[in-house]
Amino acid sequence: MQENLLSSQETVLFKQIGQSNGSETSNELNRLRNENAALKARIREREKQLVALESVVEGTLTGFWNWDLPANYQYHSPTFLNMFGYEAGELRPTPESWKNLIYPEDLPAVLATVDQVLKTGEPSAREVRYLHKNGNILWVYCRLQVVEWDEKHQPRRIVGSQVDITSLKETQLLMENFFNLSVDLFAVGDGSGRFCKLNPIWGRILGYSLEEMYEIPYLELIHPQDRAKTERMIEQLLAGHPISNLVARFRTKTGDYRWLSISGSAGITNQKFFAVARDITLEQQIQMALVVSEEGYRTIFDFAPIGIAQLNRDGVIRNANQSLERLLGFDYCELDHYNFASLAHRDDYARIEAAFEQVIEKEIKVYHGEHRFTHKDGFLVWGNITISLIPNPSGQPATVIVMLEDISPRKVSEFALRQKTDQLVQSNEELEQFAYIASHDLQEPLRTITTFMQLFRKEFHEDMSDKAEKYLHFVVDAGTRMKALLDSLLTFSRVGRDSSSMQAVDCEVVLGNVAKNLQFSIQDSGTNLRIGSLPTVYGNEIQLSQLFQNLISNGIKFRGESSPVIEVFAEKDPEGWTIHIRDNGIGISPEYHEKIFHVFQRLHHHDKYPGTGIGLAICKKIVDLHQGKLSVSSVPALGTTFSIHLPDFRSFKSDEAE
Amino acid sequence: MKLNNPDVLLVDDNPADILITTKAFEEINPGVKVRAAQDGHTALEYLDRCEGFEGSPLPKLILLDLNLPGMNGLEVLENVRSRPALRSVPVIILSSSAHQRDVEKAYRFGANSYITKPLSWDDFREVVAGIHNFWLNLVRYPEASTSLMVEVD
Repeated sequence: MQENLLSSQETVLFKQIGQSNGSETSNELNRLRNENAALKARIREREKQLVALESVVEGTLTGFWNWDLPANYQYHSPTFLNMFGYEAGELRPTPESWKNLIYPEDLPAVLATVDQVLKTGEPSAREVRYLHKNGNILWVYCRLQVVEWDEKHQPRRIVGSQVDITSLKETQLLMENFFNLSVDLFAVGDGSGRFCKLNPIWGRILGYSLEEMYEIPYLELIHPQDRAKTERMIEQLLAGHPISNLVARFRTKTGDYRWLSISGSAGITNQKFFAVARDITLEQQIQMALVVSEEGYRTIFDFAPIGIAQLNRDGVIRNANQSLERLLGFDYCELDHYNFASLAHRDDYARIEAAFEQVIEKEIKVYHGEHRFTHKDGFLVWGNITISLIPNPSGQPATVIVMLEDISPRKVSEFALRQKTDQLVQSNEELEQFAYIASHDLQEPLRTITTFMQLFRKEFHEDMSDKAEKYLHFVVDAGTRMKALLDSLLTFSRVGRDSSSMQAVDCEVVLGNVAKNLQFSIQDSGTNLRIGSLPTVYGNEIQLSQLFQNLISNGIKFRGESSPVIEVFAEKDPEGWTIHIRDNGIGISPEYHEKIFHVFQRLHHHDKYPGTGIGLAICKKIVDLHQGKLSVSSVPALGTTFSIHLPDFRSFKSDEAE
Repeated sequence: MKLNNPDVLLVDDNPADILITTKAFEEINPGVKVRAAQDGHTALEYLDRCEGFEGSPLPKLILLDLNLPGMNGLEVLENVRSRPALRSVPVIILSSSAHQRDVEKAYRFGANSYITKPLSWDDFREVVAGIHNFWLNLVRYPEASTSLMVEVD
């Protein structure tokens, strides 16, 4: 051990002493002895120093080993051994013992470092995991240094000093875990205006990579409006004063802003600060939305065209909007403290009260109803009202919302319409009554006149002059005509709406029957009736038969010189069918085209073309009832065409129940 | 059974119609006794009297107008039909109305037939002749006593 402590110069000196002769040497010997004594004293002094040094080193809890490379001997200091749970002398003083202490995974790196240190001669350090005797892993800071070289300048001795940094490592790991896992944002910044360290959540919240964030001056990330106050806060931080609850908007990579609430404290050294931030964007948005929706509701309430009032549980108005005040003729805030139901017409009061109770008791969710209210000036206001409950989850008394829409104009027109309808129904009834009167009461005296005129003629025939006979003839003839007129009028009035008998009607079948009905007059007149292909339409079969029969009889009746030719044919159009009845008769002058459809309108003298003049009026009425259109085109002396347009079933408007 | 002197009860408010009906029967069979009542009450009173006296014969045929003052024809018909003794007596409605509603009602109330008064005298006489031939000559009726026995049952 002592040998090891001699310097190379001293070793040389010892060799010289061993080689010198004794004759010339007594002085020399004395000198050497003195020198030797001095050297020994120095050596002792060195040894003392070394022991002291070792104890100092051991005192810093640094263990070390000292490896004599040629001797393959390695000294392990007591602290080194204790560090891994071993007593002095428990391990053999060889490098192998040391290597066995190293965590196997780390050994190659350690040996590489040893090689590097031996090769370069430069000291090197690294963190190495060792295995404690009890099996635990220890983190150790290990520094390697060559301390002695041989004559060929090859390393001869290397020293490794070891410090146990396990607890430091654990603290660091703990910090790093918290730092990386935190949902709050941690930042370390400095006077340079850039972040020095950020935890990963920054990247997730703002969308940048951390590398990007380190490049951007942090003030540039902050919303322009928040920059000035943030800058002041950072100055405060750098000056060593803590800050709290700085709210600033940070721009994300996509250009949005996130609201961050930031607290911070100064670092140990100046020009550094630590900040913790929390993303409060959601809270901010909710708060903003609340403000907006509250203001929105307020605006709706104030300016809605319908009347709105807030009632308490007793039905007393707490807050009424302008529309409600205006609808009922009250001034601003005048309605407050009124019982809402008391504003209703006295006949509607009870129903509204009951509805209010139902809503309060949650028997119904909302009440809708039409009720009368009394305007302050006394007139009636018809309102469509809605009553609903706004529950208060915090347990405070619930509020009732009443909405009132002024439907007075609608009610007025509904009333007018009902009156009109009533009038129409009444006039229809009167018309029916008239028809009955015409059929019965008017005919009775007429019949008596006719019968007795005939009896008169029969019994007094021989006593009568020609003149009397002639007069009597006029009376009987007039009576007969009047009877015909009354019958036609009756027929006309009986053509009525009967939606139940509306069905699909095959016009070809109808025309076949009509031709059969008219077969004698067709034969007598020599009429050529040509029936083309006809559609199936939607209608009343009896009425349609009457319609075609009337028109075809007309064609036969109003025939010209030549024998009648009557054609029936149909045309399809987008809205339905048009059926034409064309004859080659005497025709109708254009000035009468409209008139012919009027009741009792006749164009010809009785003697020539007998009839009551009701036939076309009935036709028109039937076509009207079928929501169709009857028109005529005619050239006098050449013929007439009647055209019946009937709508498709699809476009047929169903009748309201009468 | 041949009815030699059958009674006809004519209920009509129109004297002209009473006259021509009577006249028509006279011409067809002078043996037919036509008794006329100008309103429903008179007609029913007459029937009451007939029912009250054993010997007084009930009419063999009733000719009834519908449009009567006060009690109308249908009410008279309803009353007649409620009398057991008159159950087999035919009631002919002779009305100036051709209204389907009237026709339907008349049959519903138990009329045996419904005839619309014709317009001309000749036609009227034909109608009366038809009524006479069918209802008074051709049709058989139960004996009065038999009819009463039936009623007791």
